[in-house]
This record gives sequence, structure tokens and C-alpha cells, in this order.
Amino acid sequence: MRWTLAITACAGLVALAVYVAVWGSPAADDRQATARMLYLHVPVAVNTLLAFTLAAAASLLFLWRKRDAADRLARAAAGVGLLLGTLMLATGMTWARLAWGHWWDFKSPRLLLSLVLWILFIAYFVLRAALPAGLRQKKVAAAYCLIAFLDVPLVYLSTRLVTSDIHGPSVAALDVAPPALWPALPLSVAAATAVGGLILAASLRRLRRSDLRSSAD
Amino acid sequence: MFVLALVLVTVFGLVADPAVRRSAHLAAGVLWLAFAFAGLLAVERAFASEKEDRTLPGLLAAPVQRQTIFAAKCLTSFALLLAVQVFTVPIASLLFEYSLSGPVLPLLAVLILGDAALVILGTLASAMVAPTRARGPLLTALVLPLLIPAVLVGTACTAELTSFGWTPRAEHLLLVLAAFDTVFAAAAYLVFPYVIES
Repeated sequence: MRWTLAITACAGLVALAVYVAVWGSPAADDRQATARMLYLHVPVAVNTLLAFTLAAAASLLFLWRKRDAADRLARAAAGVGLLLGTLMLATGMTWARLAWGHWWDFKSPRLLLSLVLWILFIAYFVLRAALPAGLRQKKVAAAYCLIAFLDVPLVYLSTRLVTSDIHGPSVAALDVAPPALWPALPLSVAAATAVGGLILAASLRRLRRSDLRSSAD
Repeated sequence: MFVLALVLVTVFGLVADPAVRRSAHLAAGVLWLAFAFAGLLAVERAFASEKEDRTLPGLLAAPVQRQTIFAAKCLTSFALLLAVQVFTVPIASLLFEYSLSGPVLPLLAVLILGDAALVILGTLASAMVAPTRARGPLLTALVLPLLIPAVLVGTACTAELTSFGWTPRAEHLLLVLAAFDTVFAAAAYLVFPYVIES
């Protein structure tokens, strides 16, 4: 029942966000139509960073308290971050092709660091899989998660520190059709957060069950 | 290590377009990539040998802090890496006709700061992967992405110094590298005890 409610609420929020972003912002020309990619790319990117931040916070908590729940949260949040990160790169590259004319720009620190962040969290799961299961595995994974997380502030600061970056620092500079950023952007960010939260809750539940099963054996 | 660095420099030189082979940026990039891979070999042994010889419990029983062990391992790999560089740098500068003339002290500073980034992150990851089977590839996968910013800044700074000397941009890049080192050194210092405890 709770899950049905949560999924319905999420679907409603997503439908509303899609409605406002697509039909609520009429595009005057091609450029404005392309800029609507913003309502997909920015929410996904924001939530990617959010998920990795949550994973790092949970890892810190695990190193401090050694609770299995914190380790599960870190694992689930890193998974959600990786999923959203893949979407972030895919939508970003598509948008780059439409707006800048090429799929990737190696001169942009933000693009590069986002890719690095994505690879780092793949490495996090590879490391977990390679280590023998146990407390040591969880500790090492938590430590690596914290080190990898240091890339997140770099992603955030990259466009602010390096002014030559083709990727703009914020959405304010974009030419979007009215009603533009408000309320479509907060709404789409909220929708993405809701979807991410739902996946997080589901994967937490799955991890808790599989942990229970393996401790019962 | 030395052989690997040499082979890398040569192979990179072979695949590079002759038109760009004399570019300072390419030569600096090739050098830093060669350093990165040689450094990975150096740090891999740091904890792998302890694991193989089962000397880790003895090392941990020593009446020193975990962080002291970390610092000692870092310094050892650092010395090894410097020894490799003493030979690799002149050879690479010959192959790429890359003039290393530039302000000596800043160039040394880039070398030391770049090596420090390599060795700190590498040693930490070396302790992480010690109990696993596929240490080498795993170590590479863990460390290289973390090192990308340092390698890029090191390359840019080296190229800037050898082409234009001590410019404001070089100074800025050197400071960025120093900041990178400080942040990751502090983080590695803090998490290392959790990584090594058995």
C-alpha cells in the first residue's frame, strides 16, 4: 500500500513536471526548443551530486559507528548516483550535440570531472566486488567512497574557477522561453529527486533483505 | 618501473603525429603519463609484498601510529619514483627534442607536487587492494581517475614553465596542484587507519 502510494505520487509529480516543461514553455525557435533539455539534464545532474553526497555521508557514518544500515545506505545511494550519473552524461552529451555541435568537449573541466566522478563510482563497486565480504570490505569501500566524493566539490567549482569552460556555471545564462525557470525547473528537480528517492528506497529494501538472508544462512 | 616508463615514452612518441611531436604540451603529457604508470608499479609493491610475505601483522604490531606507516610507505615510493625520473626525463627530452630549459625551482616544485599526488593516492589504494586477487588492474582503475586532475594540471604547468617560464598562469597551476595535494593528503591521512586495520 505504501509503495503503491509512493509510486503513484512520484508518477504524478513526473507527469506534472513534464507537462510544465514541455507544454508550459512554448519555444519560439529551435534554440529555445533545445534549451528545454535543461528540464531533464539539470534535475538529473543535481540529483546525481546529491546521491553521491548521501553515499559519502553514509560512508562517514559507517566509519564512525560501524552500523550495517549506514553501509547499505551508502551502497544504495552510490547505485542511484551511478544510474542518475549515466543519465546525466547521456542527456548532457545529447544536449551538447544539439547546442554546441559536438558530443564531447575535452577542454571543459566540468565535463571531464563529471566523467571522472562517474568512473570513480564504477570503481567503487568494482572494489567492493573484489574484496572478500566482511567488515574490512565495508570499511575500505567507505574510505574509497569518501576519497571519490572529493571530486564532487571539484565538479561544482569547475565552471566557477575556470572561466574558459564552455559549460556555463548556472542556468541563469540560458535563453529559455517563458515561463522559463520558475516553476518548471524546481518542479522538475523535485520530480527527479522523488524518482531517485523511490529507487533508493527500493534498493535499500532489497539490500536489507539480502543481508538478512545471508546472515540467516 | 624504469623499463615501463621508458617503453611508454617511446611508444607514445611513435604514435604521436610527427607534426605535433615537438609540442611542449605533448612531451609534458607523455612524461606525466609515464610517471603515473611507473608510480602505480611502485606503490603496488608497497603493500602487496607485505601481504605475500605475511609481514603485515608484524608491521601493524610495531609501536607506531598507522599514519606513520602510511607516511613511510609514501616516502619509499616517492624515492623510487624520483630515481626513475632522473633517467626518464633526460631520455624523453632527447626523443621529443623537448628543451627542459626553464626556471629550475618551479620545475622541481611541479615534479615534487605531482609525485606527491601520485604516491599519496597510490599508497592509499595499494593498502585497499592488498587483500584482493587482481591487484594491479584494480589499483589502476581506482587511482587513475583520481589522478586525472593532478596529471592534467601537472602537464599544463610543466608545458607552461618550459615554454614561457615563470608566468602568472604557471604560478596559478602550481598552486592548484598544491591545493590538490593538501586536500587528498589530509583525506588519505584520515582514512588510512580504517583501510589497513585487519
